[in-house]
Amino acid sequence: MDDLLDDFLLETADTLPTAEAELVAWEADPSRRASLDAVFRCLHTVKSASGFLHLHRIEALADAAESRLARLRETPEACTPEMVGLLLQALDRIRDTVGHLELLGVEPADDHRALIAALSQVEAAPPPREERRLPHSPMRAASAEAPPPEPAKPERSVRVNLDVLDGLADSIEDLVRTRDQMLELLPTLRDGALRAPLQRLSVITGELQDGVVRARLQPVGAAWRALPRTVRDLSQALGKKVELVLDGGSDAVDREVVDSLKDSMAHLVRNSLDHGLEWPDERRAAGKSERGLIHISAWLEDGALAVRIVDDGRGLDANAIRETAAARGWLTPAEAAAMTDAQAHRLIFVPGFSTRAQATAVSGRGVGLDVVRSAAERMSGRVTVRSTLGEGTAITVRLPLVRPAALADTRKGEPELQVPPLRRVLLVEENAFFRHMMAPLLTAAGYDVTAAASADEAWRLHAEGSDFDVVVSDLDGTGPGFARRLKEESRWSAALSVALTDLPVGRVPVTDHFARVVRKSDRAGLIDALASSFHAPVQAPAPGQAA
Amino acid sequence: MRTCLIVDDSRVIRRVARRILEALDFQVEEASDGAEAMALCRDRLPDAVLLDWNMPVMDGLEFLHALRREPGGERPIVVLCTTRNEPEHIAAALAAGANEYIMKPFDGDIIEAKFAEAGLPFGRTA
Repeated sequence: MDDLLDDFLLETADTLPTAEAELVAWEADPSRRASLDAVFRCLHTVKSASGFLHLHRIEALADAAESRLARLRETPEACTPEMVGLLLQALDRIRDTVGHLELLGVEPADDHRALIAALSQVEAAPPPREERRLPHSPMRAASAEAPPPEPAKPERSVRVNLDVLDGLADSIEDLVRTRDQMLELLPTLRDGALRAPLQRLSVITGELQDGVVRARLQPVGAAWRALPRTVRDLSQALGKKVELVLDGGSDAVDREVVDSLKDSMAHLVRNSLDHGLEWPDERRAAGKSERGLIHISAWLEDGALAVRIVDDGRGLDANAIRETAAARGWLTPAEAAAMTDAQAHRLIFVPGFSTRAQATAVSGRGVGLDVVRSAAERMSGRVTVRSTLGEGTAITVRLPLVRPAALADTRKGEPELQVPPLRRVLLVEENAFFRHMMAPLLTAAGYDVTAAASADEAWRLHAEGSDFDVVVSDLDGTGPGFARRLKEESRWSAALSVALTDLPVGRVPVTDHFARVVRKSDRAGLIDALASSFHAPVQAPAPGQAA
Repeated sequence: MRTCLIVDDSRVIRRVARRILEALDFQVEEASDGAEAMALCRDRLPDAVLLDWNMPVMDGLEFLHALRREPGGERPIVVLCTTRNEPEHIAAALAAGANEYIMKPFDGDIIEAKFAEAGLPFGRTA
């Protein structure tokens, strides 16, 4: 019966989230009868299937929830948030029981008697009509526009341990490399008989590579399947009114990307609800609708996945952020004051940053948005923010479509790029934020870093007799003049000169004064540029020869 | 060989039912909703249909109505699979031309007995 149990686990893994999403969608809009029917159908399926498998605890829970739903279908107006809460709880318990079952092969001992009793209780006399309406029916679920998730089609599928899949992917990468070696040898072979089988091998290898990538794909929307429920529970707990709109999400990306996104989305939504959206009376006073909006959308862009969460809440207060940064001792008050609003906004991703004196129960726990950024960076992605005070905030997470480890694997065969023992780096960057970000980064990468906040400061070091192997300078701030003087008139002309810029690299005016141009946001790019420059030594122009 | 069509949106239940029916020497086909089942029936009418009620796209009752309107559609023995929470479904299904109903979870003995009651000849030694 084991394969039946596997089927059951697979089926419930699909059914339960659907039931949850539809239940929340129905609560938000009780006119959506189809949602209620879908919840009913899901519970019915779970109940029937668990009955066949003699999973009596799951069967009993599903049965109680299904019976309650059957009565709800008769009198939907009698529904209360507490009732929906009980049903959601039943779904949770079923999921927990199934999890236990999957892990240990048996149902846990808990028979859920209290919950089943609560579900089975005949309604008390209905409360007065106005209370019976859901007090803060929290949101319109995504599926208001999108059709509800497709019911499980009898597609052929099987669960595979990710480690197995990764091992397979590694083997295939090795195979690809071997094939490439053979293809390189092909012209030197005198025996033409190898040509045809080798070409076939090449094609098959490509198919394998493609197959293993596709085996790991999941729709992006899987990352926010749980969000309607999160928003429902939180908005009720907080007493804020929220509409959650979900757009897109059908693009398929590697499941590791989806997993990474899952936690970040939950974090960002909690953050929006807790800090971004105002209280209903505040919103009214600001001339906004009482109901806040959280809009999540996903799209593909330049070969990457972009996911944006927008709220129409109070927006980021750049001045409050500046004050916090100064109070934390990260910046001098003058440096803080010199920041643009956009620069200040980025500080919300710095570890330890929080403008609220006290963390709330909701997004509290002292965890800041830095976890979102570090999660993205672990995947070689990045996070950006745009915000207008009083109007709202948009945070965009951009991630590659496949796991970075897969990309790293393809480089495994290449010689390691090693940083030679302690290169001396001078970092000339006027912007304190970037200076503080890059100096420790370069130190961590094994360089001996000296930071200068201005060209003047750099020239003071020059006058004092300091020497450097690398000069990294800010093209936009310090200016090309610094680089010209560096190359043409200074003792440092032989140093590797790297420019940092905010501009897209393609739009940087070409100049001989820089061996490399790197975008400020591209931290990995900076490290790569230095490492590869030293790996293949740059021919520095002799003094006086530079253009 | 006798043929039976299983119509259920749950893959688990289709699989359980297939095992039971194959042990009873049925040739089995599966559909995950009423519309799919209808398409299969237009292709070739089965001797028997094991029909779930709650399905997306086209539910059991809609399927039953559609089947009975088909040429020859009165012939297949249709057994509704239901649970004790759905007495009204049983009544509606019988009114729409279902031959019998059984409660989930069912087993081979129950199916065999119900098929026999509904007039399907035994075919084990065919």
